[in-house]
Amino acid sequence: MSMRGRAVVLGDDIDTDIIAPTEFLLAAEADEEGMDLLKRHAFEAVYPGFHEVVQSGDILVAGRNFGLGSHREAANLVLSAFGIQAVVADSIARIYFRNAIAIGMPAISIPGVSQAVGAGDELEISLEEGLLVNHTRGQSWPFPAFTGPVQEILRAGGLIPLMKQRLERTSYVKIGTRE
Amino acid sequence: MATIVEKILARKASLSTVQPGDYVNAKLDGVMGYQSFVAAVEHGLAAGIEGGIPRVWDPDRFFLIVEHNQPASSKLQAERELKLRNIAKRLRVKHFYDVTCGVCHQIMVDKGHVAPGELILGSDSHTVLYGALNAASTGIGETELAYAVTFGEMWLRVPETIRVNLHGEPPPWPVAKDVILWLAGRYGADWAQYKALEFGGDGLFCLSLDQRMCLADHAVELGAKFGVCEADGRVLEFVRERTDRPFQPVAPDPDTAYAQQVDVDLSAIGPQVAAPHSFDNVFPVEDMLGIRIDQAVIGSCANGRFEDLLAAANILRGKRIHPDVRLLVSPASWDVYRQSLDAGLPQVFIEAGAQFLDPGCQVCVGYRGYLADGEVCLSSTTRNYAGRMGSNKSSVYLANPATVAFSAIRGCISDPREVLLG
Repeated sequence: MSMRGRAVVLGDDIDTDIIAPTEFLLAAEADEEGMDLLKRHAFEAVYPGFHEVVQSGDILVAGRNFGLGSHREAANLVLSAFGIQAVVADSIARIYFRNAIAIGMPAISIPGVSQAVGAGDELEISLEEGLLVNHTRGQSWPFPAFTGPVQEILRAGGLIPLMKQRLERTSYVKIGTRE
Repeated sequence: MATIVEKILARKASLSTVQPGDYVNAKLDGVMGYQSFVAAVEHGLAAGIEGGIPRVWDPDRFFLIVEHNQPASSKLQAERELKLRNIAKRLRVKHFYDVTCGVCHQIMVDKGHVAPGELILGSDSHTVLYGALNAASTGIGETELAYAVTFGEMWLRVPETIRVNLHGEPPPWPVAKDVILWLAGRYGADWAQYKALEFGGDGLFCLSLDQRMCLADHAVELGAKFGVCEADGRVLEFVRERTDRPFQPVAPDPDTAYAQQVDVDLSAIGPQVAAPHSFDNVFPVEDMLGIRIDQAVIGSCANGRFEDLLAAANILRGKRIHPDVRLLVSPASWDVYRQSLDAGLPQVFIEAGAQFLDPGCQVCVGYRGYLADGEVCLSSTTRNYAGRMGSNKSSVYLANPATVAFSAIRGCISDPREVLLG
């Protein structure tokens, strides 16, 4: 898997309350209109107007400890809703990382990367090789390629597709039906 | 030569040993979900899985709690609760807690759903709290929740472990908050990222279980995957009073090599304050004195237990809170509420001019006590991120419940040792 996109850059310690403020979570969960509302407020505490800057196909680049805080998956899903292809950060908080992989979005930690990418830089990521290339600055950053279950889940497009495959392979008695 | 978490993960993956960095597929002893379980089901439905989640792998091990917004105060909340109740019926969820509950994690420990040596996942970041009872527990999102509930297993990467040795006599206030804030201030909010925190030492066993739950709960604020405490007789007694299922406590091997070891002297730690807007922006209370506050909050999975409320009540007894301050007190669960009633605490809070609220997460996430632009809150809850408790132009400071109560009387951040140490 490889992808190419324009960088949109954020700083350190972007928590999930900043990414997806609590008051818009339920709406975002309920329907597309609600997700549009969340998009208008995503990142506004640190980056007012983020929703007007970000474009589909962008790659999000952030500093240290990106996505710390609550488990709210809306903070991951809102990136997908913007069309963001991947997150690259100096470091990524663990639940945020797991949720990203679970929804099929690559989340890559490369210490120091945020200092070497400017807003609008043209980035290319090869997941198989473990390589981030900044075409604008002519720099390459290796990272450990995903292995094991992380690789398997990303290849399947997320954990739910894997769950579906596994259910289809397994015979089971449905609970709560008379069939 | 293994840590608590390594031993639990090895056992749950049916392996003799595991090493940090290994991927394991582990069998789960429990899974906790709350109202966002609706999203887990809807993820499945969107993928064309019949019913979204077709089954619960083991009805005895799934715990579903109507929680985070109860009672509903908007159409969106009410509709989600209704969906949740219908899902619970369809899946015949055996352990379904509706209106008389409180903070999900407190329900889990109050009702005996956590035992030493168990591996439990929950769709909330503070699931790490169960580590106070010697369980390995951690937070996941709703997508992983769907998978975990269906199959009762999950991939996990074995984390390195940081050992925190507590020593000394604890001071006469809920000091666990100060220990965690001090660690955050010293080492940073990503200190334990992808790692486990293991708490032990003679000082740990001097702390009540209420305090240990605060320690374990806040492990996630240091980035940790697990925050697990060694077990003693108090843990075993607490769990045996609540469940008769067998369990096996886990202790680390004496010669275990840790990624890092840290010693904390409980007798030397004073009240700490985390200033806006990050958990590791920590100062001793002496440096924060006089900061005016509009709202003060005691509650949540971090500091909403009986001992927290008692510490606050002891400071407030016979006093009035400052006329410019709103003090909100929310017990972590109805069990804590009942304990507080039996001890006469609500009367103390009410006579002091506080609002004694029902249990739940609302005060911690701004569903209640929403802060307006420019307002300042001093809170014993979990987080002080921008916008956490209302407007992103408000400010939240974090402190232990005694500091919060004493500051509510003074109208500004104050040092509770003035009254506690007389």
